[in-house]
Amino acid sequence: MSIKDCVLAYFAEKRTLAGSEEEQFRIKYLNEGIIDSMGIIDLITHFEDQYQIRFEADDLQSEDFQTIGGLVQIIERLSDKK
Amino acid sequence: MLGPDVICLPAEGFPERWILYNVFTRTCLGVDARAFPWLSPLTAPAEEEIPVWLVGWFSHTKGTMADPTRIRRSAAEWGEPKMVSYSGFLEICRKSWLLIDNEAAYQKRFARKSTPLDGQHFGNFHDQMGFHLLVEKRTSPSTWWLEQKFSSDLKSIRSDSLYGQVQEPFLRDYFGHRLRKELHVLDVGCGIGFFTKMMAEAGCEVLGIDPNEEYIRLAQKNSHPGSRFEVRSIGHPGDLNGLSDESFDLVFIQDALLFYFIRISPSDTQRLDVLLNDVYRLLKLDGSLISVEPNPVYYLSPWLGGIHRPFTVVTEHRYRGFSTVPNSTTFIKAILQSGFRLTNIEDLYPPEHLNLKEDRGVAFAMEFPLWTLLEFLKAAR
Repeated sequence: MSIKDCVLAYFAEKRTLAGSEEEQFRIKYLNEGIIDSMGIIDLITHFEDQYQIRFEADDLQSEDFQTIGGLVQIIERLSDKK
Repeated sequence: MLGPDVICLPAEGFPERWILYNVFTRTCLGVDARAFPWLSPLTAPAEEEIPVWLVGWFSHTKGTMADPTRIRRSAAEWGEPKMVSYSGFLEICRKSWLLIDNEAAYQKRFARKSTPLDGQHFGNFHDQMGFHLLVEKRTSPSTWWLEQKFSSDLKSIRSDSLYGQVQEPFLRDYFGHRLRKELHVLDVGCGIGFFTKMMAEAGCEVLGIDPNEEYIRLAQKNSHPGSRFEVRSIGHPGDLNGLSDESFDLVFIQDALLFYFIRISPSDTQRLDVLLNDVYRLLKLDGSLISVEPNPVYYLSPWLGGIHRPFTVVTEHRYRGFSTVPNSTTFIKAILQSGFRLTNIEDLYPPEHLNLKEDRGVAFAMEFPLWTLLEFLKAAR
């Protein structure tokens, strides 16, 4: 399964995602309450473990990290670096 | 230029080291004294490199009761410095909000964080703590909360905290003379039930309620005869349905009412008026609401000065940006307007017999109490 599909599947487990893939990528999952502050640690460790990557502090506080599409890009970038 | 909110503090034991500290953002940098000329626009940049210490976040990483200025007293633990040129120094100072080039842009950042990972706004204490725990410590805020207050078995309050040195002995003494057997007490926002249990030990029949399922599970594990616990949402219409009118002699709320004035998260929906109406309904006539909340002036403020001459820097009163407790007028007025009369007020000071020389926190709390207890009587509406 591609990184993109894995990330979408992770969020779809929390809530059914409406719209096209492009629209789903623009979803701000924290603003929309799909993930709350308690769920952030789970999200971070889930993808770090799955892809053997480490999100840096700058990644976590970037605006990209807060959208589904941005998160896909960050994981792809960190996976490429390995 | 040096930001308008920055103060400079000498590090103890290292005459050449200083802390630059933004009192609003709670950010700081350890610097060598040779950096000071670089902060003046009249000084030509030197060619040399100087050491700075990225001591970082200057607030309560070790708990809400930790000294926010402790870094100036622990310079030996700052670690290896980073050698920086003039331009590198300015860059670090800008990133830490010590040098402000654009006051208007800086001002815009004084707002609550829109999400727990919002790095664009400073946010209040809750926001900053949550951000720090998630981004730097990778830990859950509820786990951190328990660890900074309780022993590892959760059976006692940590004696190395002001909860243990001030709040617990004060309340144990207060309950000893205020409570009597068979009083019916409602403990609102009881957490893991430490004080619920203490009131039950005094002979009261106590119901502890809290919205956090994990806290109630832990409370039930350590319960005492006379205490019982329920998971309940609080502060929404209907939350306390099922509890009978005028069924409690006392309602006790400790370190919880503040969250009804300044929410932990902007998305929280609990309402103070709903809670106070519920408390009014549940209390017997002439029953009392007892509130123990952080002191609105001194809680979270920097601990400065000599151990026998403590002083602090007060940064906010009417408009709360960083602080998480409303000012006392706002707080008391809201409760009075809900049909209560103020009957008692006590500041929580440490017991006199403690050895102050070994504990700056206690010395500070002896002068600037970190909690205030208020008693309100239910009056006829």
